[in-house]
Amino acid sequence: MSKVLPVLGRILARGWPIIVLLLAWDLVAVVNGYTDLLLPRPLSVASYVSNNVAKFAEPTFITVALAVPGTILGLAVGCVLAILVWYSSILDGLITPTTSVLQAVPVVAMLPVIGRLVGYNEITVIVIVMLLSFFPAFVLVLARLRQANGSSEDVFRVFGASRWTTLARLLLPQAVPGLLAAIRMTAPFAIGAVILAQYLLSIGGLGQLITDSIVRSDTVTVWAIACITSIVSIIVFALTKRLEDRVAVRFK
Amino acid sequence: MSSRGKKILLGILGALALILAAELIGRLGLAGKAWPAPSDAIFSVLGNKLNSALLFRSLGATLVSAGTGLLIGSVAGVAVGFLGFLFPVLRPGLDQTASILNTIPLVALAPLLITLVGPQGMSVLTAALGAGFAMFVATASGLLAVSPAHSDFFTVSGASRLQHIIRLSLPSAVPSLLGGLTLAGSGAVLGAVLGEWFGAPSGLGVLMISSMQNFQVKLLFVVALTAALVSLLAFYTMVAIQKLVGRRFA
Amino acid sequence: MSASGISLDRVEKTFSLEKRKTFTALKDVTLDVAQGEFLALLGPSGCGKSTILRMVAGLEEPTAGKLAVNGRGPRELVNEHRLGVAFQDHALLPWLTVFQNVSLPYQLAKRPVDKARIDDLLELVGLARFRDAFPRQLSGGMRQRASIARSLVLKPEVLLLDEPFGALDAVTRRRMNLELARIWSEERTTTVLVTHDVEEAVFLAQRVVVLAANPGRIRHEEVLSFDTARTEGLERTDEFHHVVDRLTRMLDAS
Ligand SMILES: Nc1ncnc2c1ncn2[C@@H]1O[C@H](COP(=O)(O)OP(=O)(O)OP(=O)(O)O)[C@@H](O)[C@H]1O
Ligand SMILES: [Mg+2]
Repeated sequence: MSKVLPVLGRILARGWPIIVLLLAWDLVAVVNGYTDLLLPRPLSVASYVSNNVAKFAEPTFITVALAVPGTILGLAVGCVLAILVWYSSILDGLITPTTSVLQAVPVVAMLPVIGRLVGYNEITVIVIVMLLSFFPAFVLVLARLRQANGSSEDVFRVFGASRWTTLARLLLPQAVPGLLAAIRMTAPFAIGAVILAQYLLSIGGLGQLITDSIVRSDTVTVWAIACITSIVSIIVFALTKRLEDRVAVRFK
Repeated sequence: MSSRGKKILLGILGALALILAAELIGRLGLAGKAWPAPSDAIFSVLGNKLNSALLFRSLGATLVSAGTGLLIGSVAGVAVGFLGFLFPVLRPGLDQTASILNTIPLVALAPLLITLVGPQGMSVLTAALGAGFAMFVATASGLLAVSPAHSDFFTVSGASRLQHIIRLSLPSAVPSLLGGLTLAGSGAVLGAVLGEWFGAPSGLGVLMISSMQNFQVKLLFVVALTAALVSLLAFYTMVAIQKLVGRRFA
Repeated sequence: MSASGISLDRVEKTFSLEKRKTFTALKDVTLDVAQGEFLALLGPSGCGKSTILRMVAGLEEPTAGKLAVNGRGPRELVNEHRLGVAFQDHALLPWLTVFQNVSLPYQLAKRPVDKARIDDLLELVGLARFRDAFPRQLSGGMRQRASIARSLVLKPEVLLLDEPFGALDAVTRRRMNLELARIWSEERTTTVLVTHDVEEAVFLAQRVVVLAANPGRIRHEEVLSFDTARTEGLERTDEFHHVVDRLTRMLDAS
C-alpha cells in the first residue's frame, strides 16, 4: 500500500487533465442525454473499437506505414544536404539562405499543390511527409556539424586527419543529437500529415475513414479515430522523446 | 570581395537559381500541366479581375482568422502558462496536456471541433490552437527563467510575492515570450489555412481546395504562394519585433 | 552576546550535493560584529565568505548554530527593508536604466522615490553621466558601482558587500575606497566587506577576519586601531604596511 500511493500520486500529477477531459466528455454526454449518434460516451467508443478491431487495424496500419518512409527519406535528404553544405562553402552560400527562409513556409498547407502536381496517390503523402521532416533535419544537423568543438578538432588536425576523417570520426557523432531532435520534432506530426492528406485527397487510411464516417453520420467511428490517432501520436512522441533522451547523452 | 559581400551574392544567386528553375520547369512543361511557370501564373491571376478579387477577398478572410486566432490563442496560452506558474501543483499536468494537445493531429479532432464551433469557427480555433501552444510553452519556461542573482536581490530587498512576479518574473519572461511569438505568428497562419479546409465559407485554404479540384493550376499556385508569403511575413515581422524589443530584456 | 549587530554562534553550513553526498562549507564559525562596526572578511577562494554573507542576508539557513541580526532572525531586517547588499555578481536588472535600478529599493519598500538622493549617489560613484544608460551599455566596473549605489540608497542599517570592487581598475578602486570610508564614517552603518585585496581590507575595516578553507573556519582575527583617520595618508604609514604584509603572508600560507 505504501508503495502504491506515491505511484498513484505521480500518475495523478501528470495525468489529471486527461482524467478531467474523459470525465467532462462523459458528463456532457450523460447530462444532455445524447445518443451515440450525437455524442457517444467514452466507454461505448472503447467497446466499439474492441468489437471492431479489424475495421480500424488496417487503416491505422496503412497510415503509419506511409509515415515511416516519408520521414526516413526526409531525414536522409536533410542529413546529406547538411553534410554537402558543410563540405562546400559555395554550396553553403547558394543553398543555406534560401533554405532558412523557406523553413518558415507551412509545408502542410502546400498539400493541394503537391497533390495536383504528383497526383492523388500515396506518393503525394510520402512527399509531404518528406518535406515536413527535411527542414528540421537539415537545419539541426548542420548546426551540430558547425558547432565549434575547439580542442577535439585541433587534436584531429594535429594528427593530420583529412576533412572526411574528421567528419566521420568526430562531427557525425556530434551531429547525432541534432538528428534525434529532428526526429522528435517531426515523427509525431508525420502521422497527422498523412491523415490530413488521406482526408483531403480521399486516398485510404484513417483519413478516408474519417470522410466516409462523416458521410454516413457514423459518429462513434469518428470519435474512435480521434482517440486512436491521439494515442498513436502520443506513443510516437513518447518513443522519440525517450530515444532522444537515451541516446543523446552519449554524444553530448 | 569581402566574405560578407560574397555570402550575400551567393545567397541571391541561390535564390535566383531556384526561381529560374521553377520558371524553366513551367515553361518547358517538364513537370506536366500542374506546374505553371510562376511568372505566367502570377500575371494571369492578377490580370484577371475576377480571380484577383477572389484572391484578395480570401487573403482578407484568412488574415482575419489568423489574427483573431493569434490573439485568442496568445491570451489563452499566456493565461494557462501563468496559471501553472502561480500554482506549481498544476504544472506537470499542464505540460503534459500541452504536449499531448500539440501532438494530436488536428485532422483527427476536426470533426469533433466542428460540432463545437461550426465550420466558420474552425479556422479561428485551429489558428488559436497553433498560436496558443507556442505561447503556453514560452510563458511557462519564460516565467521560470529568472536569474538566481536577481531573485536573491529581490529577496534581500524584502520584496513581496506580488512585486517578485510583476517586477521580476514578468520582465524576465519577455525574451521567451517574444521567441514564442515568432512561432505563434506563422503557427496561426498555418492553423487558419488548415482550418479552412474543413468547410469554411471563404479564405486562402478554401480557394486552394477549390482550385485544386477544378484544375485551376495557376490560381492554385498563386494562392499557395500567397499563403507561404503571409506565413513568412508573419514570421519575420515577429523576428523584427523580437530583435527590437528583446535586446532590452536580454 | 549583544542584542545589536550581527552574531554568529558556532555556525555550520553543509550543502547537500547529488547522490546523498554532502559538503561542509563552514564549520564552527563564531563571529560578532558590533553595531556600527566595519568588518572585513579575507580568505582563499571557496572558503565560504559569500556563504557567510548569504546567511546573514537570510538567503541561506545555517545547518547548525545560531545566527542573529540585531538579536532577531535576518528576515526581520529584510522585511523592514533595512538591509543593503551588493553581490559579487552585480545583479542589475537589464531592462531598467541605471537610475531606475538604483530607485528599485524604494519601490520594493513602497516608499516615495527620493530622486535627489539617487542623483547624489550616482554622482558619488561616478555614474551621473550614465543615469539613463542600460546595464549592458556599461563596463563591468561601472555595473558594480551602480550596484553599490543601489545597496546604499535606503541608508541601510546593515550593509553587506561581496567583493564590490573586484572589477575596478586600481585608481577607481582607491577612489571608491575613499568614498566608502567617508560614507561609513558619516553613517556608521554596520558593514561586512568581503574582499581579496588585503590593502583594501586593512584600509577600510576596523577588524579583519581571515578564513581558512576546507572546511571554512576562522583562522585569525586582527583588530586594527590606527592613529590616523582612514584617508589618503594611511596607506603610506609603516604601520599599515606592516599589517598588510603579515596578513598577506598568512593568506599565502593557507
Ligand atoms: N548552493 C551550493 N551548493 C553546493 N555547494 C555550494 C553552494 N554554495 C556554495 N557552495 C560551496 O561552498 C563553498 C564556499 O562557497 P563561497 O561562494 O562561500 O566561497 P567564497 O569564499 O565566496 O569564494 P570566492 O572568493 O571564490 O567568491 C564552495 O566550495 C562552494 O563550492
Ligand atoms: Mg564569493
